[in-house]
Amino acid sequence: MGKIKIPRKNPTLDMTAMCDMAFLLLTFFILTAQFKPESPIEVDAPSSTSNKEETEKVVKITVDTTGRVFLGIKEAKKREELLRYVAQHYQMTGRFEDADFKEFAGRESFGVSIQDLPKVLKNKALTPEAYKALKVNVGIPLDSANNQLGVWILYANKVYEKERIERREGMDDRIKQIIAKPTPEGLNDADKKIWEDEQKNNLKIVLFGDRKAQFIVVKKVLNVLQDRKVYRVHLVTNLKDGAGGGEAKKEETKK
Amino acid sequence: MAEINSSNQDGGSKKKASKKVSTKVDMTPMVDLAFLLITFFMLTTTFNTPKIMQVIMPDKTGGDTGHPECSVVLLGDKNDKIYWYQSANVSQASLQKLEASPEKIREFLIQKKRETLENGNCYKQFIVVVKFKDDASFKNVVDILDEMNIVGVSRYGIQDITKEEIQLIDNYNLQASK
Repeated sequence: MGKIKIPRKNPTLDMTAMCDMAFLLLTFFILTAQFKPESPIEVDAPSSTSNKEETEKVVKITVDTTGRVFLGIKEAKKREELLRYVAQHYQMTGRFEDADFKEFAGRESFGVSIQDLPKVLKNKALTPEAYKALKVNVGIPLDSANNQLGVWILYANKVYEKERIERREGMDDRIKQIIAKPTPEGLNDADKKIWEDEQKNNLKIVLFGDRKAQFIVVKKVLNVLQDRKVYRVHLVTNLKDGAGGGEAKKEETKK
Repeated sequence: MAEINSSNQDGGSKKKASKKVSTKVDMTPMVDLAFLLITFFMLTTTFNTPKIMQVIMPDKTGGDTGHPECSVVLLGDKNDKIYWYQSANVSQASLQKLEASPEKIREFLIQKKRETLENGNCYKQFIVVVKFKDDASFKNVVDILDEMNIVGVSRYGIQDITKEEIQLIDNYNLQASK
């Protein structure tokens, strides 16, 4: 019996290709990464075929499964200004310190009444659990007797309206005419782009409801918005599976 | 050792026999690290910005719902139940159940839309009124709105449900359970 010859193989592997690929993917992910905004609550949005993307200038009203209402302003630099307005409205400016305004500016969203807000900001409470530990009611009040959500929306509109007026000052009349149109129909491509950019600059009120949220809370929020003459509401939705053909489906049904 | 032979006079064929140093670098730690970072970024990244769907709410003053033949009322109840009726008089309306799946809602809307558009009394207007009970889930609202966008129902309104309509749903459930 002869010895079994085990062929000697070099155990080292050429990892250059793998390394290349790994770094390529790494670069891609680093460049495209946007950190998840710190949200105090988990909300599972319902799905739809809409493929419109959320823009920068957004005020987001979040409704969770238990019907608690949170509010968030996407643009960090607008948050402080908004809080100052609302604090003034409730004559509470004295209860907020400069540090509180800074703390508020760093928050994606919050969900307490304005009376409890200084306490929450001073204690740096972020989550509903932390709110509860401070013996604070979670959720922004929106009953007709104490409609704080309405006040926040009112001043958010005001803050963005101010910005809009400032932006319009430098524009010439032709562009003003373009952006005043309700729809982009009949515009050429360059003008259409101007119109669309302007649309992105307008404040959008976005309702981010959990799919299991009860309709009554949603209805209350919509009522508040209607009272504030906000008729155009955007609902946050997940893109449905295979909904890339949303537009195509529309065409199909038209026939 | 390693010398750069700048002169070409020797000719390329004759090389100095130098001690071979392996050019291979052990890349294992580098790859490890790279994959670790990839995993991290893949898990923390949010690929797509949230999608939004526009809904235009009517003015609070309320509008007309049009001729009863030309409009259909959808009622939403808890546990994903959807009903519809088509009548001017709520107390005499016969409620019918509609399966809450998007496909079924779409089928229904397409069918109703076609019927209405063929009806001469409607002047090519098809109106859908959506009403939900307080404990209906938000998902159903979005489903219906989404299907209306797909089918192209441009005139719709979300309205408050009336007592008669709640009664109608209760009666329907009572009969169904018998």
